Amino acid sequence: MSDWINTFSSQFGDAVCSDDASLSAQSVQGKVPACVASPDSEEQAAAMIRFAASHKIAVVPCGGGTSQGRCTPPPKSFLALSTKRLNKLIHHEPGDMVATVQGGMTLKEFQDAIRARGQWLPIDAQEQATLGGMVAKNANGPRALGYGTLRDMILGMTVINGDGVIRKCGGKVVKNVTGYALDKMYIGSFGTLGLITEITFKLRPLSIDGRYWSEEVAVWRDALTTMSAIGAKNLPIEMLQIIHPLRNEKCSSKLFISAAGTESELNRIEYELKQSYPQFQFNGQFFDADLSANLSGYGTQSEWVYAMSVDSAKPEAVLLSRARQRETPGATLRFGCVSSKLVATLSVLNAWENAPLSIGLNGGIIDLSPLTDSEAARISSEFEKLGVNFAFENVVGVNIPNRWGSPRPEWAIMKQLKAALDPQGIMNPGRFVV
Amino acid sequence: MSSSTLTENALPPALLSALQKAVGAANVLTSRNETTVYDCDGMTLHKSLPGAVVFVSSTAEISAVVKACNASNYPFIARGTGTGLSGGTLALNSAVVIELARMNRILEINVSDRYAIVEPGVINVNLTKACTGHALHFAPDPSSQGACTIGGNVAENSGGPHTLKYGVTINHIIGVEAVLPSGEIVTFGGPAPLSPGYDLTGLFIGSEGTFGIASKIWCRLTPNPEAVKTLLAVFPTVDAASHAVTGIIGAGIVPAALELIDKHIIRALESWLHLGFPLDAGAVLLIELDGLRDGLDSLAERVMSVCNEHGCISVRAAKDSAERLLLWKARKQAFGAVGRICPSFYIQDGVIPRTKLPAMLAKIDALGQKYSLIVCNVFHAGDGNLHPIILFDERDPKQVENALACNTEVMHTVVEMGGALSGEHGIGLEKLEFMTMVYNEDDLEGMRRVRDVFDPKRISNPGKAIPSRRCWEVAGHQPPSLAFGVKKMHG
Repeated sequence: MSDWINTFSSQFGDAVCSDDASLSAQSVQGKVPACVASPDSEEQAAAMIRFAASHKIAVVPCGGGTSQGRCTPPPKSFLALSTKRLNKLIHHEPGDMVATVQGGMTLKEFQDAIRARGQWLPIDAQEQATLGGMVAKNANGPRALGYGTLRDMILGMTVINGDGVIRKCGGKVVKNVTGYALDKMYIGSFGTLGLITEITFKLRPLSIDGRYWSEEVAVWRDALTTMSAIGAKNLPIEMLQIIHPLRNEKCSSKLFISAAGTESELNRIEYELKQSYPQFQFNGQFFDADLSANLSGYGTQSEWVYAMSVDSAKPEAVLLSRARQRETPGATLRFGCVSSKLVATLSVLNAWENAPLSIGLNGGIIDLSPLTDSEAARISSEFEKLGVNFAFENVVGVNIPNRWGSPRPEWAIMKQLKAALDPQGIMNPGRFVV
Repeated sequence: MSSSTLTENALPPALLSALQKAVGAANVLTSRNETTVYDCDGMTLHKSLPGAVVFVSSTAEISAVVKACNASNYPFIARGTGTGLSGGTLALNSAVVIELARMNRILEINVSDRYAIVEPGVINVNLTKACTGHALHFAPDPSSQGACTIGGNVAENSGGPHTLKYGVTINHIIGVEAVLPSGEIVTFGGPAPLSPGYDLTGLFIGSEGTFGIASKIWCRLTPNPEAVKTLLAVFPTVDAASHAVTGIIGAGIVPAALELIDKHIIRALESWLHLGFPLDAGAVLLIELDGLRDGLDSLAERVMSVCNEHGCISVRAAKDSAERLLLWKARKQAFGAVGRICPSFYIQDGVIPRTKLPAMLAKIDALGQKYSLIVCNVFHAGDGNLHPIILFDERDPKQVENALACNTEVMHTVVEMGGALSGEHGIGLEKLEFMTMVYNEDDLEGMRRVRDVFDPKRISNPGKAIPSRRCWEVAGHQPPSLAFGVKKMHG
């Protein structure tokens, strides 16, 4: 056992595990950590990071383990820093629709707690994802159409930077320009600037009612025009997606729409859909147990009931599990484009007609397998010409040197920011654009 | 009353020459007669004469001017129309003011992708006007939107009444081209989502000109709601109105806007605009609901019900678009109407949890009585963003002293209630002394490190936004307003 592990273990006692079983359980993209640490307080986590900084040990923050594959693999030797014991709901003020939570709490635990007081956080992520991890990866999915992204929902944050110092930014009120918006910088920073230990969210009231419309389409591209036209109508919908079969190739694709509001609003939306697109039936369904008949082939009924009511990241979750079971080289491609370029963007992927995907007006995710180095390079090149932002994730057996595209001038500033807040370069080193 | 530096400070000759070369001599003002116009912004309590005022017309000119200042290690500050209320564009240490008002072009309106590209000097409301016919608008709507610039909105992360539902400036900016304090031109973000790396667009917004100058801005455009219903609810007291606000938010209703106007402002507005406001009311709530017309009536009924539960005297809906516009004219020009009551006033900008609104307003009233000053209230009640307006006579040093002391106590109360020092006006110079109330030295050190990445020489609006010295030095100082020395204009 390395010297530092001995010292680390004796300093932090039972917050540290170095047995084989614990190490394997906390492996990251197949790499086993040298040591797993689970601090039970911010102060202990900060001390651990200070230790790592002084010994130049790479630190990989670990939450629910749902999205480590979105970055490149960790270095050979690293400390897995788990947030599982930093998992408390600190404060929920329903009258102000604000909640403060530790980074290690899972989305499901959080939603269950605040749902009891009639509120929720309208962000797409898998239920076992931790809130700190969701912030670090800038979790977003189909619900971004209706509710925005984490940038619109986070009021403040506490982060332990790579120098092991606890720093807070923002606040706990819904409007705040006190100091720099460092919280915006931490969103989507993939743990490279520090460990996110506490977040304050602006919540939404649970809607009075909800309805979804799911229409089969034989060829998913045929639904693109309809999806774009619905998006242009300015109806208050929350999700608008085309989903291609994720498990069963015999199933057709779906045009999926959901909305929340009063019954009169939902009736109005349904009326508009039926009038404008008579080729579809658009018979609205409520979020209830009848989902299974409409979504057969997409998973178990209980999965989808929860998926469509709260965890709308289910398509992504299934893509991820598919990636993990991958036997041929491949990657998950996540891409973002302006809506007017969606067709052109998807034309780059013409050869992937049958690939599982979930797309909205401004991009989506698609599973590419088997994927060659040259095909990945071709897609990257074409996307850059079109001005499409992208990321290759969950990469297995493919050499993709620039997973986020060619380096951009502003990345130099990002490198300097990392150097400023992680002077020893220990936080998820080399795993992101910086 | 002012605290002007009364002498002209000559720029280093090499810098003056470089500025003139960058934009032409006619676009560089240095004489006191000319630069005195720019010696303050909307925060008129503090004044400082610029070393020069430079008019720029392009990103390249901004870059050239900034490079010239950088080469001389000379401070600079960008300015739009100078409507800021926190001294953000105050030209401390004879800074060079880079005036962006001429960069007022809307470069592109992309209707299908719902964004616009604008130069920083575009007046906020002009972007919405330019979208007429496309059923789109630029959502951030500060009360000064008829005068303030989008570049200024970016610098301050400006708000406005409709931020309650639609968010503040940071939620509507998808990209920024910026001139860094080195003179380098960089672009953050853009119209396509999922820009790789850190959200530098989000980080830049609200940096109050300390990270550089926004030279081009990508603005998200928001579809106009199908229908709008504007309610005016009259209450006997501010306390009743504030309880109604917490009741509305607590009921899970998120109006498009929820504003409180108290009796002092009502009287000032009524004497000017003759809206039929009840002069015996303690306060009114201006509540706007928008969305599909199908849901609006039932939502309005819910809101009216809450108002009635909290003792409102009456609540009615604006009968037509003209009346709605008049109500909003009243609200957005309320600050100006204060001039009918008193020539000098001090506007605050703290934010508190909505649940604390009644207690906070009671405290503000008590502080007004303690210091024998009238404190008016017209503010964004729906998101807890207060705007207590402390009225005083600047010719009376005792009133000035009381106004500043009252301000300090209000700020302390805001922080004690878990609030924020500023919701939309920014820290600037005005609230710098209070930053150590909400952030400790580690927090501020982190912000300084970030600032050093952008501005290692500390020439981009230095002395603003975050304390540059150790907190104990700042905490030990008198408030800058007194430290500057308040001087009479005459005599």
